[in-house]
Amino acid sequence: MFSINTPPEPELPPPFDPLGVDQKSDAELDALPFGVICLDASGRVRRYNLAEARLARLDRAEVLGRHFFFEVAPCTNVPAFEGRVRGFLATPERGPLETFPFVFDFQFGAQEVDIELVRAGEGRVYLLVNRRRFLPPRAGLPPGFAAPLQRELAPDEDAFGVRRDELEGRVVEVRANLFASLRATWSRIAPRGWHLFSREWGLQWGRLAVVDLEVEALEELGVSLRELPVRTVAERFGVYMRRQGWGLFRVDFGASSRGAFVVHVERSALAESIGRSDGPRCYLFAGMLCAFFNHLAQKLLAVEEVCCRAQGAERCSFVVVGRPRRADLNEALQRAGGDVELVLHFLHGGRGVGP
Amino acid sequence: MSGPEAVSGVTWARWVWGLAPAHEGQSVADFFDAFPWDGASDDEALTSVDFFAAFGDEDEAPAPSTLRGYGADGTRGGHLP
Repeated sequence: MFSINTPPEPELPPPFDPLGVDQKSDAELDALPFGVICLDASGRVRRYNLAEARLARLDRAEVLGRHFFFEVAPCTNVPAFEGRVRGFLATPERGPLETFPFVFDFQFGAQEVDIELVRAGEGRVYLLVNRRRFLPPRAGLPPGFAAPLQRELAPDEDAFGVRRDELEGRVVEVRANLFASLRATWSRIAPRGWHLFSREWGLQWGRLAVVDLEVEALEELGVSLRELPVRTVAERFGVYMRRQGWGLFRVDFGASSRGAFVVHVERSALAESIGRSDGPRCYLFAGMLCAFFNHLAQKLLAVEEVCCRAQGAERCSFVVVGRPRRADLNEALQRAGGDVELVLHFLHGGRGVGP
Repeated sequence: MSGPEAVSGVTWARWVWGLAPAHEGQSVADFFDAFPWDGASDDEALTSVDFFAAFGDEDEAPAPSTLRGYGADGTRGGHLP
């Protein structure tokens, strides 16, 4: 339960248990980096997570309720897929879980996948989709065999004011002063809750961004983020944020030997839209950075903004440390007065670089 | 996408500073697994250059990676060996 008096602590997700998938909330499924689809006994889609929507380039809102084998993925309307699913559902003695390889055909390319079938109640079945390889579109497929594009599922949505990016994700273009109004709203209803709300929002949003970045890396490079060079991943994150218009994110690992590193944000959209402030204001980014680096490090970290453009600083700067050192970081922040080098100096017990 | 060239009109901009040569090309997993999170390390090899002193340096090409699955249990969601 979220409370402005007891902020939630981020936690690393436990190892995924396929047999527990039906107990997961939609938000939990959306934080998984692989596809999850739930079909009812008639073959209609009842649940569809974010990674699957991103990899299939279909909007969940258009997929839910449609018949999976005929409308969403006609390439699965074959004995090797639908027949396998039907046989699995009709034969409980085959156990709660079964795995088989398959090739999904999309108009934009083919995907080699491993499908994990998980039996659920009331004749439902979960498809856990593990992408193994991305290929060009296969030639010689019969018409209508490959999965439809989003614009074929919903051909008139432009008339309804629906906008999409190049990967068919729905986007909303708003002015950055949306954040000014959000901040003003919080100032009226919960003046002390802004930073907790923003940070938690950043954490949640950061977890979804991680899925986006993992999927991008998988599609473009065939590997997960943790396998890539640290420089490459930091660059990809910077490009991702810059592309969305949040500012220029750069990582300084110069303090690594002191168990900390720094993320600088030039021209923060948050700081510039919210207006002048006595204290740091980019808590949304602090939460997002925390989610991103928690995932990369597979450790719980603490992220605090040391100085903010909203205070008149040239740039916003965040220091990242392991969560056990959060108290040390907060103490260093109190003593350093917005000076990043001083924070790092105090974190190092007053040793090394510093005044 | 690599370094200053990626940022049109901001030629001094770089995405990453302070990686010692020994850590260039190192995977995220290896880098953060060895990171001195307790702050107790005196391994100055972890750090090389000052943030602002590094403006204008050239980037290096990333090292090749191996294929391995990802996901909370390390087996789902990505490529297998």
